[in-house]
Amino acid sequence: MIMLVKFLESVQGITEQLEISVKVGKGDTVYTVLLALAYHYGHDFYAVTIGDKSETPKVRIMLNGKDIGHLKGFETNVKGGDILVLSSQEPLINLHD
Amino acid sequence: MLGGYTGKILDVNLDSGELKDVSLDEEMAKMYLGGKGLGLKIVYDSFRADMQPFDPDNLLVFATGPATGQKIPTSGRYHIVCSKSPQTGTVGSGNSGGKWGPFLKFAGYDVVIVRGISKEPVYLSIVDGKAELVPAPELWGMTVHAVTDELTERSGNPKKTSVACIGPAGENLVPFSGIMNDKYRTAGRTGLGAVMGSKKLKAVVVSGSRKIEPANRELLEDRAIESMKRIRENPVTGPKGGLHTYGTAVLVNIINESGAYPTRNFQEAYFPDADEQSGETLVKKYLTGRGGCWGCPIVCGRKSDVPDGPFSVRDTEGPEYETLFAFGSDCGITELDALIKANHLCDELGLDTISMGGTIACAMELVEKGKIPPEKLHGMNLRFGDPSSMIEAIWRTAYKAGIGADLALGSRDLAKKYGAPEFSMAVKGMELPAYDPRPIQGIGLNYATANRGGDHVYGYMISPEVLGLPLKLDPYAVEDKPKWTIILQDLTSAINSSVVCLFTSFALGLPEYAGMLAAVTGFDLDADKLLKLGERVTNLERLMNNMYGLDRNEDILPKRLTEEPVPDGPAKGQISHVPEMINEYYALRGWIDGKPTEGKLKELGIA
Repeated sequence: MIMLVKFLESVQGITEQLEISVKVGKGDTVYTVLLALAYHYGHDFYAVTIGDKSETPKVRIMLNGKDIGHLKGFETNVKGGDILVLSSQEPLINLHD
Repeated sequence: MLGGYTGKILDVNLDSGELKDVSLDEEMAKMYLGGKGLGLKIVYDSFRADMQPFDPDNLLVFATGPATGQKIPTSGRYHIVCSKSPQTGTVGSGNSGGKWGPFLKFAGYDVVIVRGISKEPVYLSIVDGKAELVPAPELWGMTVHAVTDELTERSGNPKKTSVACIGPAGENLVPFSGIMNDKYRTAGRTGLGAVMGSKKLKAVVVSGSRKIEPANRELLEDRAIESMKRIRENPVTGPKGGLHTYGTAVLVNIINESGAYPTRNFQEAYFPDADEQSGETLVKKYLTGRGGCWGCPIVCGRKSDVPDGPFSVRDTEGPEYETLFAFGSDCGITELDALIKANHLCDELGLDTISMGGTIACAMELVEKGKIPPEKLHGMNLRFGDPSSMIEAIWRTAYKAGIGADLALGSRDLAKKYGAPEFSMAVKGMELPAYDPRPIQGIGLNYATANRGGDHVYGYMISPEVLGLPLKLDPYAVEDKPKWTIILQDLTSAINSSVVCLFTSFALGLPEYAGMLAAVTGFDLDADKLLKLGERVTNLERLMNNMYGLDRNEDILPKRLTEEPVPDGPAKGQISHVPEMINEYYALRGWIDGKPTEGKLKELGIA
């Protein structure tokens, strides 16, 4: 089962790509997807998405058009066909200068 | 003399050619500050319920506020009000940036009131406190850029001169033409350009070097520094934030991924090719620089260049997010170069891009559904996804050429004329902006209740519902939305009466605004009093609309948005719940059926 993760604005500066397909299975959540991506993209990605889970992430995280803050946060379940969007208006690393 | 004001109003009678100075009433300034509030009060004091949009008595009021031209972040703005809009039948209202507002104050006036109709085309020149009407038949017909260049050159002092003018669309009384200043800045909505055109007033040129003293300079500097710090540290408004980096076009992908990017005349709410017209893509392909209004640290303006191809346009500015939606997804068009061209054309001709795009999108649906017969189009291939026909439709509208005469009616009357009024995506006759209200409940309530019609910046609920500022509200929920819509509407009325840029509200709150305004004016202002002032302004505007005959019957969204669920995309299945929220909104406002009660008007000091 494949879901799509899209990167907008400053997040593109970390991932250096616009989107990626991720294989997901039963029990996967927003957290497990972000963790897998953090292994792929490195510490900067981890810091701005998950970081200290008790704090608000530096990036806006939307699952199928809704902010995960209005769902179950990091524990929101994901499934094939879902679209996860990460965006940030804040400069996460040095960009576009 | 009040701090922050010149204390002078210029009253221009185009019937007689008489110009006179009037003193600013101190009590009026305390009640309504300036900008929108003061403009509305001036209109109210000469109100006539039988006013017509092109009546000589329809006042056109250019109003700065006490913040305008001060050392306050984003104080380059001003507001224009007219007694009756040719587009909506409500009071007309628009806001613009650039440098015209501060330059009017430096020329010696807080406000310019224009009444009557000139026998021949004229422009108004205000230089260092000296105002004169100058016959200008040779300027009539000029595009915005041409007349701006001409009058700037005539001034002999280009760096200290600013020109507000109309283009051919305003001259031709297109009901959604705007008043342009500094070439690219627009008081775009409600057809103020047509009112100016009806008066045969081509331009207002301002120049001067007068400084306006605040009541407490030291206190103002302290408070402005604190506000500046907040703006610079904010992720949206800061120097490396989203608005500066990508412009307002930063919203294209965010709103699209929220499932709220109106597509093909609001038939859909997700545009698969949105990224091709996004702020990110604009930066990569066409951006040549950034620019800001007078006194602005945010600098959200775009400089762009399309060097070649069928939609080539050199060294232009923009486009903004709303324009990208209006000519892009709403018309089913992907090509970013065509959208830049469309934006440039509207700036040259003096057209509101939201209403122009919304009207073309409506026409495209009317063609698609067989309501406009092919012979009416004289060869134009006006269909969703065709950028060339969209471009042609713009200039045809400005000159009312062929089908352009129908497009110039605006979507409400166009759709009515062709027997399908349900295809007009407008409120009170003004086309809706770039957020589908079906998955964002508060913005829908704001659209429905906004006094000037389909208007996102009347109370920008996108801020809490999508951007999470100043707090996150679930966009699908209806709870608390009436309360928040009212707060943001009244806050915006206060901001537009100050006058500063609405974008500062991402970083600042009522205490910061009230603190700076108190330091400028010396008025007894705090957060609560400023919000109450905003409420007074909102209610005064509503009262005049009521006196024109508008009531709750006009506070409605197009049926498509309350009855047809979003067909696909992230927000699939959502509809707007405005009908469920509106009574609570009225109750919280102290209104009955869309009308303020006498008690409410007394409480606000209006009655």
